[in-house]
Amino acid sequence: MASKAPLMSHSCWLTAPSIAVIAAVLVAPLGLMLLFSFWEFVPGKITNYALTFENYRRFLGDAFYLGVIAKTVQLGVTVTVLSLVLGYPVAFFLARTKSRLQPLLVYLVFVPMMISLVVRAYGWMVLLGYNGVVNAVLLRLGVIDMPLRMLNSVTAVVLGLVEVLLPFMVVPLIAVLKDIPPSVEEAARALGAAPAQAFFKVTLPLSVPGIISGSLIVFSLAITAYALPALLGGAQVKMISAIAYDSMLVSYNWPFSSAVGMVMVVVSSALIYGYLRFVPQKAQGL
Amino acid sequence: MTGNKRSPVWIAVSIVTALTLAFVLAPIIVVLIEAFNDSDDMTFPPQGLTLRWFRAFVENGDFVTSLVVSLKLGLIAAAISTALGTMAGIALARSRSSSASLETLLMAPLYVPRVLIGLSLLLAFAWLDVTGALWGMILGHVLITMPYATRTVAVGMRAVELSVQEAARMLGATRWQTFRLVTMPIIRSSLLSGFIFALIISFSDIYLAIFISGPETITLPMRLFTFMEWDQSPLVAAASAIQIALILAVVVVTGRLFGLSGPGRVE
Repeated sequence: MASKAPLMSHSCWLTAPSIAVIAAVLVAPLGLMLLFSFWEFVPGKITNYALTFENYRRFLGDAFYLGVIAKTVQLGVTVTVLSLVLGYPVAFFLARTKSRLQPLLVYLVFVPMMISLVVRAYGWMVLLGYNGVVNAVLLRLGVIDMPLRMLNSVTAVVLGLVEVLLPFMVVPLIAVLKDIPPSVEEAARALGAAPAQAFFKVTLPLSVPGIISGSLIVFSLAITAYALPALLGGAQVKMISAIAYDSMLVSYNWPFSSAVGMVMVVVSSALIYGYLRFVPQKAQGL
Repeated sequence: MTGNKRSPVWIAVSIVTALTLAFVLAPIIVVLIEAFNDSDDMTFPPQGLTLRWFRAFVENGDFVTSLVVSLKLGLIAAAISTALGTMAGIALARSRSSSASLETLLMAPLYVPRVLIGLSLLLAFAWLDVTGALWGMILGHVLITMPYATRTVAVGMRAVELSVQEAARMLGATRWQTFRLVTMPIIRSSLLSGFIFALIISFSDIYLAIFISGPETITLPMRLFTFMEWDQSPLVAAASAIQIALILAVVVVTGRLFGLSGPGRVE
C-alpha cells in the first residue's frame, strides 16, 4: 500500500498539458469574450475599450432581440419534449430487451453522431425538399396534389434537431433505466398493480434523474444550435446563435456579439450544472 | 413490461423504437441513395443509377483540396489529442481524491456548446490578427477531440492492475520503460480507440470550421456547407456519401481488427 502513494501523487503532472490546452484554447478566449462584452462598440475600429453595459442592455432590452430569445426558447422546449417522447421508449426498450440484436440496435442509435451535421442536414433536404422523398410519397398516395414547401421552416429545424439530439436524451435514460431492477416493477405487479400502474408509480418516478439530465442537455444543445438551423431554417428561423454570428462576421460588432455569447455561456452553464448534478455517473461526458 | 413478456405495452414500445430508429437513420440512408441519382437536380425516386457524381467529386479541385485539408487536420489533431489524452487519462484513472472535479475539468470542452467555442476562438484569433491559420484550426480541434481520447484511455487504464506497473518499477524499469513496455501494450486498443474517436470528431466538425477556417483551411464539411446554399444537386450527395463511407469504413475495419468499443457508452 505504501508504494501506491508515490505513483498516484506523481501522476498528477500528466494532466498539465491537457489543462494548459483547456486554459489557452477554451478559458482564455471565453475570458476575452467576457471583456469584449463590456467594451463600447465603435464602427470602423471595433472598440475603444471604454466600459459600458450598452451591449447587454441592447440584447436584453430590445423587443426584436427579446422576440428572438422567446422563439429560441420555444424551439428548444419543442425539441426537448419531442426528444423525450421519442427517446424514452427507445431507452426503455434498449435497457430491457433480451434480444441478441441489442448491441447492434444501441450502435444504430449512436452511429449517426459520428456523421457530420452538414451531411445529415443534406439528408433532411432530400427528405423534405420540393422534389424530395416525403413529397414523392404523399403525391403517390394522393394525399396532396401539389408538393409541399417544407424546407426553410421551423418544422424542418425541429425535425433535424430532434434527430441530431436524440442520442443525448437516450444515454442518461438508458443508464438510469438499467439501474432500476425489473424485479422492482415485478414486485409492484405481484402486489396487485396493473402494468400501467406499475410503470407510472414505480419505474417512471425512479427514472426522473435521467429525464431531467437528458432534457437539460438536449435543451442546452438545441438553444445554442447554429449549423442545422442555418441550413434547414434559412432566413425563416433566426435563433440566438445566428444573432451572435451575424454581429461578429457581418456587422463587425464584436462587443455586441460577445454580450450575446456571454448570455449563452451563463444560460448553458446553469443547464450543464444541473445536468451534471442529475446525470448518472456512467452516462457522464457525452 | 419487461423484455421477456409479450405484453401489448412492450409491443408498443418496440414499435416506437423501430420507428424512431428509422427516423434517426432516414437522412443518412436517403443521402446514400441520392448519390447514385442520374439526374441534374435532387429528385426522388432516383432517375436511374449512375456513378457520375462520384467522378464529378474527384474531378472537382475544391472538394478534393478540402478532403485533403480535413484528413490532414484530423490526423494531426487526433495524434496530439491522443498523446495529451493518454497522459491525462492515466492520471485520471490513478487519482482517487477529487477526481470528480478533475474529470469535469478535463471533459469541459464537451459541455461548452460548440458554437461558443467557435465564437470565442474567432474573437481571440481576430483580435490577435491570426485568423484562418491551420495551426489555429489544429488547436481548436485538439480542444474538442481531447476529451474523447482522455476518457477512452482512462476507461482502459482502470482495468490495468496497479501491481503490474509496480512490479516493473521494482524490477528496475524506469517510469518511461514501464509505460513503453508494460502499460502501453495493455492499453493499446484504448489508445487506438481514442485516436479513432478523435479523428472522427475532427473529421465531422462543422462549428469550428464555420467560425475559424480561412480560405486555405476549408474542411470538407465546410465546403459542403457553403456549396449547399446554392446547389443541392446529387454532387452534394456524392460528397456526403464519401464522408459517410470513410467514417463507417474506419469504424468497422478498426472494430474488426482491434475489437474497439462502440461509440455509445452504454454497453
